[in-house]
Formats: sequence, structure tokens, C-alpha cells
Amino acid sequence: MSPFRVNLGGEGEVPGVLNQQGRWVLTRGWRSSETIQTFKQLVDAGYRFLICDNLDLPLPDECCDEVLTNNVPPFDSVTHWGPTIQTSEVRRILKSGGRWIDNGDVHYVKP
Amino acid sequence: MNAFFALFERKSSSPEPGWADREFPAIVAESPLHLWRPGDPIIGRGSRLLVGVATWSGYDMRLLDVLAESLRGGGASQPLVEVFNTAECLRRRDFKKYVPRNHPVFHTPLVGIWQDGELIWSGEGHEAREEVARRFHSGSAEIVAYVQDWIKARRAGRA
Repeated sequence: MSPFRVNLGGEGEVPGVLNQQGRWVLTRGWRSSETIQTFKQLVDAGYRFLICDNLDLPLPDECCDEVLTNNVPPFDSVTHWGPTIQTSEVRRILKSGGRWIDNGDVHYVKP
Repeated sequence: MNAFFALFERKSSSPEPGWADREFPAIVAESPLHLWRPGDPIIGRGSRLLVGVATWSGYDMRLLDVLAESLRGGGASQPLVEVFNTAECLRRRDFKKYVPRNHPVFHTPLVGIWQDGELIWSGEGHEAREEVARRFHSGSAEIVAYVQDWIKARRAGRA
């Protein structure tokens, strides 16, 4: 079975993983910051999305092999977009031994 | 010179909350860019670019390095480049104090371009990065590639 990987946002979407995004992706005028594709274009191109906020990810405990983030606001804070990535949620969804990769570097490995 | 991207790099290695935002004004002060705050005057003659950036975005920080390097290169016809930190915008309506436009802000940078005191263009994200970088003989693709290469190097370093 291939590893289950989740991209919790930042610049651009990642092919082959579940890309979490806020509800704003459904807003008229939204485009990917990296490729300027619309949400529909990304879905048509095969990108998979999970649309939800960061406080309560609708994913089971310990389901995820790897969490990816890149160029994101400080964790556990609030911006005008709303609550940022919650470290408690990342730790909850990672399997034991699962890794959180932030900007290409290992930020956390779940014991 | 890569003072802005270095700020992003240091923040990535030591993510103390708010640290990079506190450092940002001092780095701007040492560059040819100018920090702009609501209430500051807007020049009535010539071109003015106002670039709103996030210190947590390597793409935004690289863009500022590109602008600063180009401005240091001189030339009499360079536009005035002013910047602000989007962390100052706690609510969506706060962005209008910087760039008066009716669109919601989804991405950084947020950019406004004024000519002779009149806002003639505004945009955000990739489109804005491209518009600004192009005026300084660069492009969004170059900036994205720079950050992606940095991420790849970090990934290779842990492989």
C-alpha cells in the first residue's frame, strides 16, 4: 500500500497527495498561487483536495504517513485567513514513525 | 545580497513566533526599499509600487531581494518601492488601508501600483509577483525556482 501523505498547505499544490485547503478555494476568483490554475483546473488535472479549516481536520487518528507544509504562517496562530496549522492536529493524524516535513526539512517525527 | 530570504531561512530553522516580523522593519531600513504604513504620504508624481509580503513566505522574501538588488543597481528612472508586512492586517478589511481594492486577498504578495498618485493596477499571488518581478528584469518562475531549489537542497540534506 502506498504511503498516505497530506499537504496541509502553503505555496502550491502537490500531485499525488491529499491537499488540504480552506473554503476560499471555492470562492470565485481563487487561483493557485504557484500555477495560477483555478480549483476546477486542478481537480481536472487529478489533484485531490480536502476542504476544511485547520482546527479540526476530518481525518482519523494515526492515519497519515507524512504531512507536508511549505511557506505557511506560524503554526498555532491566527491570521486574517483564520487559524493556522495546528501542531496538535498534525500529531494526532500522524502514524507512529510518521514525519512532518516543513519546507523540505523534518520538523517532527511521531514517536 | 539576500537579507530578506535569509530572514525566511532563519525563521524556518528557529520558528519562534513573531521573531521574523519583529526583525523585518530593520532589514527594510538597511535596503533601498521603504516601509509604508497607513497614513504615510503617497507620492503624487512618478511610479510607486507598494508590495505587501509575508515573512513566512520564501517567495515573498526572494522577491524583495530581487527588488532590492535591482534598485541598488541604480538608474534614474527607478520607481519608488514601498513595502508592508501583511502580518499587520489582522482582518480582511485591513488590506484596504494599504491597497484599496474590492477583491478578497487569498495570497501574498499583495501589490498596488500607482502612477502620479493614482492606483492603476493591483493584484496578488503569482500574478502580482510576476508583474513586479518583470519590472525588475526577473520573473515569478525564477523566484519560484529559487525557493523550490532551496527546499530540494534541504530535502537532500536530510536524505
